[in-house]
Amino acid sequence: MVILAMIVAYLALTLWVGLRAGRGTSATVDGFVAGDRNFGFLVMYFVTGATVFSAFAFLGGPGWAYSRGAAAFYILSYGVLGMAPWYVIGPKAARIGRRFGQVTQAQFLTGRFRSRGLSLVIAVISIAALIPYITLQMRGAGIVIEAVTEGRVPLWAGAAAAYGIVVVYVLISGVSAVGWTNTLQGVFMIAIAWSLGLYLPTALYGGIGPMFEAIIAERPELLELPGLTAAGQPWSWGAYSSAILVSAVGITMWPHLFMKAFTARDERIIRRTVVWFPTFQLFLVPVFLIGFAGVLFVDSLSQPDFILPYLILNVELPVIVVGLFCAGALSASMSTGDALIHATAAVAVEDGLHPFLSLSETRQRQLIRTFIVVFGAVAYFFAVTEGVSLVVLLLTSYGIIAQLAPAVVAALFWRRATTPGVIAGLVVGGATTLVFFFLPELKPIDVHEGLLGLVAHVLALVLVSMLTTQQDDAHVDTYVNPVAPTI
Amino acid sequence: MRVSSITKLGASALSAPFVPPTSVTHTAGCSSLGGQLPKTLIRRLAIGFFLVYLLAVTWPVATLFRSPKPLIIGIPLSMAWSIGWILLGWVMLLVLDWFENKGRR
Repeated sequence: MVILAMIVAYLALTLWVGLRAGRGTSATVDGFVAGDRNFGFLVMYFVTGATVFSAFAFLGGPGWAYSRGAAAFYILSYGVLGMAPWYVIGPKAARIGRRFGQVTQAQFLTGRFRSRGLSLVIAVISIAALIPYITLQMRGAGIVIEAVTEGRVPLWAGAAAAYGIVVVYVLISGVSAVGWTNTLQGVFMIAIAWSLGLYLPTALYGGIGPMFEAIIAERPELLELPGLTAAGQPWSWGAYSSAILVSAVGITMWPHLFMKAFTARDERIIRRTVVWFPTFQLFLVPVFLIGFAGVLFVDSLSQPDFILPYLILNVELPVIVVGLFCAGALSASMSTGDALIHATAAVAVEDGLHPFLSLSETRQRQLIRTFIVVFGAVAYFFAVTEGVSLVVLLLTSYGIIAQLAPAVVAALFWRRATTPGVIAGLVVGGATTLVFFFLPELKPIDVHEGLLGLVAHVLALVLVSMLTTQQDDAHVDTYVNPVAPTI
Repeated sequence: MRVSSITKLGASALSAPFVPPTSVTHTAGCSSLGGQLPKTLIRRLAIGFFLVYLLAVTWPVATLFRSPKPLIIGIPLSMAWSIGWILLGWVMLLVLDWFENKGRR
């Protein structure tokens, strides 16, 4: 009962923050999708961190550490590597976005590579990648609520309650709600992860050092790089290293993250967000400590992702700690889910429909709101229906999303890149990734299929660009040498 | 042969209209030049650093740090290696940002 009350209180607080956030934002597409480009450092820091670390990190992170050991360290390794180039790319994209009134990634790319077809391709790729991601967040929220209430609130009701609230505040306040609720949720996530990450090893083993000494004595192979596969066999160095590389390339290419470049008040804020991102990345350390705490305590769990709720419910913790864990897990789920739902709807309208239809500002906002409800409902349907493995879909989509990186880099830094070159790169890179994902036996070496896709992508991009007509110099300059902002 | 080409170059340089070097036209003059040098250096250093970071956490360099032992502040070496690079990455970004801002101020 106390736990349920804490969940209700947490959800009410989130809703209140989300609804208040939209006050003062203009009634325009710029206001709804890019928050009038007025996010300050604190909000940008938490938006970036809380959006990157989702329910997948909060539940999947301990699950990986518990079942695959050192393999989980690849997640520790790629974050800062992936965010560092954003120090240069983010402010440059923001400057161009501000000049041309862009609010989405496809608008940014088609500003340099003019093609409605390209816009549609990016919209389709983005939506296909984002829906499984939203579904995972919803399932995460439902699972947590069902677990801590011991089944009194079933998955479908928990997911509906948490995401009903998300849809309401995103509908009313747009991206401003995402920003302010993520700030609240980010604080919850960090505080709870560190508290549990330090508490559980101490409660179960007498400390972090003794915990690892005990694991090394019993299962030394678990902590040796590159860790284990899901089946418990040793993972290959090729797969471990290429997972780091592809994830680092893809991390800032997710539309819901890339679009946040357009929400920052100024370029300095984006740079500071990148500089301070490693402090958020360290949030994974306690998350993994929680997973390792389960290694010798829980024999074998059929679904490793449940190790955290399992420990919480089976170690005799004070009720208030269980309630706080629930708030932390819901924070992780909802802080990513709201950004995802908002981005998916904005991409569908701005990149999928707007290039082909003449839409007024009011009509665009109405359509984005409609799609927020539609995509929320679609993801909810998948979340409560067992079927296709969503984790599999999500892993594939990571390889596909990484394919946007060469196009973004070419738009900003390569004068010779052409529209046919970029389209060829996306098609060849995406197709290569999918072929090797579905037919892994064809892979020439044991690496992530996204890396093979990136190699094919870059070759196609360079070859076709060199064979097609160069773009006009003045047009290229608006991207490669964008005018510095006047202060 | 060499002397004559130098003379030619000298003559053409003398006959050309005087164009002041770009850096001299800056209002900040020498201090701007002094500010630019370490900034470029730091940018290159940052690029080099993150390439080393990538090499350090992937095959083959990471194989040298594959073992869980010794424990470093209670954390296995294999995990501490990744955490250490996050901290170093943070320091590199702080240094880069400090120099970038120094230029802007």
